Parts: sequence; C-alpha cells; structure tokens
Amino acid sequence: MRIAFSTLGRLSITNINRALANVVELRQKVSTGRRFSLASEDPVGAQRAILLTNELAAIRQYRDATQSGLLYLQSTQGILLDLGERLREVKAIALQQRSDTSDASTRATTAVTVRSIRDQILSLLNTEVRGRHLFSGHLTRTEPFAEDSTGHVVYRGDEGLIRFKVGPSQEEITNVTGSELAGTRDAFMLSSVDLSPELTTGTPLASLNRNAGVPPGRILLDNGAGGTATIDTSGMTSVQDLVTAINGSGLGLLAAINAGGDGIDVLNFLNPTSTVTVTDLDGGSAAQALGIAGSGVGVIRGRSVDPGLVSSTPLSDIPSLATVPPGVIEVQTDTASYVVDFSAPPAATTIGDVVARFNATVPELTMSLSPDGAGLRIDGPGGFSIRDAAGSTAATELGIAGAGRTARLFGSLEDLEAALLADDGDGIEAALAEIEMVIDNVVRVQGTVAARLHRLDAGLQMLDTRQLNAQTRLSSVVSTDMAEAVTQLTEAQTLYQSALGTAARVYDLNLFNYLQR
Amino acid sequence: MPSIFSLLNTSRRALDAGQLGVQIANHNIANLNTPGYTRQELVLSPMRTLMTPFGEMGAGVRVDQVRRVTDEFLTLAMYRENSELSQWQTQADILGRVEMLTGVDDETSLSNAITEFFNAFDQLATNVEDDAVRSVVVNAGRTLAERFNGLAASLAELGDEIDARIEQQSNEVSEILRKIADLNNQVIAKDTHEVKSNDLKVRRAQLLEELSQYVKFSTREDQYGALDVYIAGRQVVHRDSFAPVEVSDGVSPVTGPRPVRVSVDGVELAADRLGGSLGSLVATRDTELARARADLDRLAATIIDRVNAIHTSGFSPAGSGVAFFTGSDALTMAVSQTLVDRPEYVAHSYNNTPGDNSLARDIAALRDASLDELDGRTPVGFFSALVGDVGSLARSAQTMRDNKQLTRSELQTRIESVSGVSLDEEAANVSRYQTMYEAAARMMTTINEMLDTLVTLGGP
Repeated sequence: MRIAFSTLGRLSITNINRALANVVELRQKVSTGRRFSLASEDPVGAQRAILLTNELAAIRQYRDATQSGLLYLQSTQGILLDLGERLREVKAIALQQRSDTSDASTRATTAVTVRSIRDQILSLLNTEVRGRHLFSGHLTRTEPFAEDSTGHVVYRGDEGLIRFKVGPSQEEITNVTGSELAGTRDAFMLSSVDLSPELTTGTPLASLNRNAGVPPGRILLDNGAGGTATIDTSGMTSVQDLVTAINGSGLGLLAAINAGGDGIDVLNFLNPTSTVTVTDLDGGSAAQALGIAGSGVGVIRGRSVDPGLVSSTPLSDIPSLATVPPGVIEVQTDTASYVVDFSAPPAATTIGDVVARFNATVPELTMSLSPDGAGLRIDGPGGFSIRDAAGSTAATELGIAGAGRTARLFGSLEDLEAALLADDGDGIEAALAEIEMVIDNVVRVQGTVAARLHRLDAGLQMLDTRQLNAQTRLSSVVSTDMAEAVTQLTEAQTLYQSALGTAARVYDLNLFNYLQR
Repeated sequence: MPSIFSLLNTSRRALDAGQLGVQIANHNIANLNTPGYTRQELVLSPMRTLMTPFGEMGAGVRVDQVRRVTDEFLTLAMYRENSELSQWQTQADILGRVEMLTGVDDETSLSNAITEFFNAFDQLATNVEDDAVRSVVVNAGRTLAERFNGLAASLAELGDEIDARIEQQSNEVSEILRKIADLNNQVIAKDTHEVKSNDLKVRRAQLLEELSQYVKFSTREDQYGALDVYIAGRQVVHRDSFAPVEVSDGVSPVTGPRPVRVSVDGVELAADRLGGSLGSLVATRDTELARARADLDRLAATIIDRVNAIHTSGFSPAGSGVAFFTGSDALTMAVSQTLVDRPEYVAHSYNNTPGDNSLARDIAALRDASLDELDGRTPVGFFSALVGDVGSLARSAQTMRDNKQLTRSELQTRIESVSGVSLDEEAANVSRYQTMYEAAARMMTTINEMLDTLVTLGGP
C-alpha cells in the first residue's frame, strides 16, 4: 500500500491528540479526586450521585429534627420528674392530714403549703423552651395553664400533637398536651390490655408500624444467584399483595409471615446457600418500613412490624382476645346503666364492630381506637364504670373493666386545699384518691416520653449508620480510585511521550535524503 | 528513411517529457500539504510509428495526459462519513453544553436547591416559633427559583445560539453551492476544448468536502463534466445555476419567537434528511434540547403547583396562606413578593395555631413523594433522570463521534493511499525524469555531432 506524506502527519497528530486527551482526563481525575464531573462520563453514576446526595441531605435533616425532638422531650421529661416530686409531696401531706389526729389549724397551715406547691406546678408547666410552651398543644404561644376569674386553674391549650419527621417513614410526637397531663373534668379510660393484632396476610400495609404505614417506593430484590427484580409498593394494600409480588418475582424467593406472627421473612427458596438482599431504591424506605431491608444467607428475618388496630382488624387476629365474639359488658354512668352485647346478632367480627356497637348502645360515652393502635379509649363527660356481665369476660379481655378516671391535676390540688381549709376529712380522702390517680397518670406520661426519647436515640444511631452507608456508596460512585488512576496516568504519560518521539522522527525519513547527486 | 532532423525532434519530445515529469513531481511536492489535493501523474505513450520500406519505426515518446489519480467511490464514501461525523460532533457539542448546565451533584446544582428547599420546610416544622427560619425558607425558595430561571434561560440562549448557527451554516452552504456552480461553468468551458481541468476539479472536490460537513448530499456528473448537487432529494446545483439554502421562521418549542427552519425554494427540509451539522442542529434543538426544556418546565410547574396547593390552604403567623411561588414554568418561577418582603407569610399550620407544623411537614414531605405529574418519581429523582438522560445521550453521541472519527481516519488513509502525495515516490519520479532528461540531452549532443560530421563532410 502506498503511504502518502499527509497520512504520516495526520496519523501522528491523531495519535498525539488521543494520548494527550487521555493524559488530561486522568490528570483531572487525580487532581479533583472525582471519577467524573459531567453526567456523560458516567450517566448511571451521575444519577445515583444525585439521589445519594439528596439522601444524605435528607438524613442530615432527620438528624436535625431528631436533635430538636430530643431537646423538647428531654425538657418535657425534666419537668415531668419535677412535677412527680411535687405531687408526691402533696400526697405525703394529704396522707398526713387525713388522720383524725390532725386538727383544723394544722390543716389550715398545710393548705398554704398545698397552695404554694400548686403555684410551683403552675409555673413549672408554663415553662417555655425556645419560644415554645411545651404543654399547650398547638397553641405554643399561649401559656397552657392560667387561673380563671374564679381562681381555678384552667387549661388554655388544645389537643394538638406536634410531630417531627425523624426518618423516611418515622414521625415522632414531640409534645405532651396539658390535658393529657393534667386531665379535665371528663373521665376517660384506656384499655389496660395490649390489643395489638398479629400480622396476617390480610393485614393492611397502612396499619404497620403502629399505624404509621408503609411509604410507596420501589424495592430491589436480589437472590444472590444472579437474579434481581424490582417490586413497587405503591399499588399494594395488604401484606398479601407484598407476598404475591415477592413470590411472583421469578427469583425463587418465598415471603411468609414468621412464626412469631410479627414480621415477614424472605426465604431464598431456590438458592438457600446464596445471600438474599432487599434494598430500597430511589432513596425510599418501603423495605425498611416493611422490616425486610437487609441481607442474609438463605433468609432475611424481618423485624417486628408492629401492626396497629384499624377498624377492619378482625377480632380473631388479636391474640389477647380469647373469646370471639367477646360477649356482654355492663356500663354504669352517673345517670344510667347499659348492657352492651357484642355477641348479639350480627355478632361483632372486627374491632370496628365492637366500637360501633358500644357507641350505638351507650350514647353518653365515646369509644375509639387509641392513636397508637394498641388499644381502645373511652371518653365520657363524667365518671363511669364497666364490668363483665352475663358470665362473659368481655370487659376484662378488652381491658376496659374498671372505672373511668377523672384525674384532674389542678382540680385535685384545689379540692385538697379547700378540704384542708374546711377541715373536711372525707374531702381530703377523695382528693387523695384523685391525686394518686394523677400521679399514676404522670408516671404513665413519663413512660410514654421515655419511650419516645428511647426511640429518638435509637433512631439517631440508625441515622448515623445510614449516613455512613450513603456516604460510602456516594464515594464509591464518585471518588477516584487513586492507586488505579495514578498508575493509568503514568502509563498514559509514557504513551504520550512515545507518540511525540515517533512523530518527531517520522518526517526525517524520505528518499530525498538518500539521493545524492 | 526519416531525415536526420527528425532525430532531433525525437530527442526534443523526450526532453519535453522529462521536463514535464519533473514539473509534475514539482507540482505534487508543492501541494504536499494542500488539503484535498489529489496527486497528478504523467501518462506517456510511444509516438505513432512511421512506415518505412524497412517496416515500422518508432518516433519517440508522446505525452498523453496529465491525470488526477483518484477513486470516486472512496471520495463519495468520504463525503458520507464527513456528514455523519459532523452530525454526531454537533450533537455531542450541544448535549455537552446542556450537561454542563445541569451539573451533577455539586453545591450549585438544581438538585441541591430542590433538596435544600424542602429541607428548609422541615427545619420550619421543627422550629415553627422561630421567625428566622422563615427567612431561611424564603431564601431557599428564591435560590430554587433562581436555579430554575438560570437553567431555563441558559437552555433558551443555547436554542438562540443554535438558531444563529443554523442561519450562518445555511449561508455557508449557499456560498459553497454558488462556488460549485461557478466552477461547473469553468469546467464546461475547459472540457469542451478537450483540456482536462484537473485543478478546477480539485478545487470542486475541496468544496464538496467542505459541504459534506454541513449536509448530506448526492451528486451526478453530466457528460460535460459539470456536477449537479442534490440536498435532501432537492436539486440545489444544476450546471452553472444554484438554489440557495435559506432559513425561514417556523414553530419551535425551544426558541419561541425566532425559530429557524431550513428550506430550499420555500420547501422546508426535514432535519433527518439534511444530515450533517445543519441537520443535527435542527434535530438536537427540536428533540433533545426541547425535551430537556419541557422536562425542566414540568418539574418547575409541579413544584409550584404542589407547594402552592398546600401553602394556600393553611395559615402563617401573618394570616391565611398566600401562594408561595408565582409563575408557571422554569423561566417564570419566583417566590411571591409578599413572602420576600414579609417572611412571616410563610405558612406552617392548617388550623391557625402557632404550634401546628403539619403544613410545613406536608410541604417537606414532597421531597420524598412520588408524584404522578413526574411519572411517579420524586422531584430530585425526576431531575436526576433528566441529568442521566442528557448524560447518556451525550455519551452515545460522543461514542458515535469517536467511532466516526476512526472510520473517517481509515477512509482518509485509503484515499491518501490512492490520491495522496508520497515523497519517496516523487523523489523516485524526479530521479527517473531527470535521468531521462539527461539521457535525451546526451542523444541530442550525439545527433548534433552527427550533423557536424555531415556538414564538414568533404571539407578542406
């Protein structure tokens, strides 16, 4: 083949350019520490980098929210502990003064102490943290408790709960309302038995995680034997839908509810020795919320997903309920008594039926599902009591046997003060009984707050892990592998030098140099 | 029997041929670096023989032709490769500009602004009583709007620039067509006089090569050596006349008021049939760029609508909710002036209490919400898909460009192997023809001496 003069030059230049471009690109990678700076250099990586950066920013935000939540709840907890102390002092005074050895004058003196403790509690509960009254519900600019014109302390806040988003699918209540703490004149009752249902294939996804539900999102399944599939929770309504999707993924996976009836296991049925992995895609958290995010050899043991009560929950799914339908209860209010028969046709089959039957039969009281999905709540305008009837154990099993409580914090203190001033022994007894209930209530609230603090603390650790995880993944997507890049750069520079050297010599050689005349 | 003087003629023709040979080698060497030059070579043949009583006798050499050494098929293939190369080159350039605008995961990217905006509402949700956070929210909203505006404006500018380039390249194409028609005119004139117009044809080939960068075309040479040129199936050069490629207004989703279309004789030429950089400019503007712009508008409109729907339904410390954003697309998006002037209009609650943060949480939750308007993606997910799409389109355009460069280089090597000037070969030619010239001159001397002998015959 003929080689033209211009070919020599052109090919030399092309080779030099290609070698130099390579050197420049590698130098860029080494000096910036990034594998790419434009999307075209790695379109998939660029997309993942954006999503991971977004995820990291979200995690930072969840951390901030968690820290704020911790601040508010820790302040609340401190106040509750003080409050408990003060109330125990009052209780001690009441115990002392109820005996007949106390006379009117000592009772009158201690009435002043009770009064001053009431005032201390008043200012304690009106504490402000970062411009927020902790116990006013949503009315955070309003002092929660104040004396009305008659000198009684009344609650000025509302029932609003303040939730912070502290994780992709986790919200935490960060306040305690004054009414929850100090009570009203209304009586209420919470079931004393945990009525949480067990997990079944019919359990609605919305009821999981104590009714927080499962966010829609795409989940990546990997059977560890070369098979992957994506499922989407956005169209799913029940656990059955999820099981169907996983079992139908064609990866030989088998999803089932675990033996404990509280979580979902994913078995690598056809490849029992391979590692099965379930991951959330697009920065979502569906798999996390379903408790199946993670990996394991042969099987993923899903964590407990805490299904909450919803009105469609079948009574047969509630383990603590031995008798279905429950039977008969007797309800006594201040004005009337009622018999509620849950077994009368049509017999109640769901917890919603129980609630509807109760509310229809007892118009004075209101039964509802407690917000945490773990039991029932009954509210009434005055005192009431409930007991088993007609030989059934329905009230006991539902955890609603007993009296509706009126636990008025300030009311009981005021009653005690009045009874002390009036030298009224019975009055002191009555006030003491109520104060004991108030203390029980404060202790219960302390427990709730402690549980929330614990969840936030645990969440913080989980966020740390997730942050580290996301950072590692981001860095594996965008960061240069230095050792590799530097080696490649050295090679590229050598190549460039030899291209230059060759080009410089190529023009020296031609026949003219050898034709001597 | 030929006369002794005819011997002189034979020598003279050999001298001429030798001189011409050196001259052609000289010409070839002189054009060593002329782009598109095709080497010439001397075609020699023996002179017509003379009939003598003793049989045929040769009468020296004759110059038949100075020939351009070229391979038409390779040249046509080269034009095609040129068109395709510049088509991908142009697309890679434009998409490279777009992806530089969108950025990846850096601080100043739009995706970052989207995340920060929704995070600001989450911050508000945890600090509803803190008015300073409301300013943070407003500023995050302004940053978001500005990033959208900036990106949309840059894409629009890119569209304008493409229009300008379409206009400029159309003019250049018309100018080339005019020159080809002009050369056709000269070629016809020369060829009819049986003169091979080699250098005119070299010039014409150079023009065709230039043309091939801008558009795909086909050609047909008529019997007089004139070249007719067709673009997108329409004849644009017929002998010495040409139809200019013009730009006219049309409707473009990107450039709005001044969308530019390419036409000949008032008939619009489709981008895919135009090919080359001109076709690529039109096609990339109307598909990839238009889609990026439309996606950006869709994202902006979705954020505006979703945020406003929530924001107007609630309350701020200053009263009931107002629209957070004004505008309807990426270019017009802005934080409403009320909020800029008075950040206390940033809403946080549905029930008009100072502590209810549910509205702020609902807006913040849009960050992770799969939205139907965005094909079931989150806002950042949608944007990342846009970046990924542009990136992979740019990447495949770059790959195609690099492939085309390789095949073009191969083809060029093959063309040069036929038509290019080889110094070694020319050195050999110079040597050959110089030797021929020297030998012919030596013959001339010999004949001269013979004449001398004849003249002095019978002298004193």
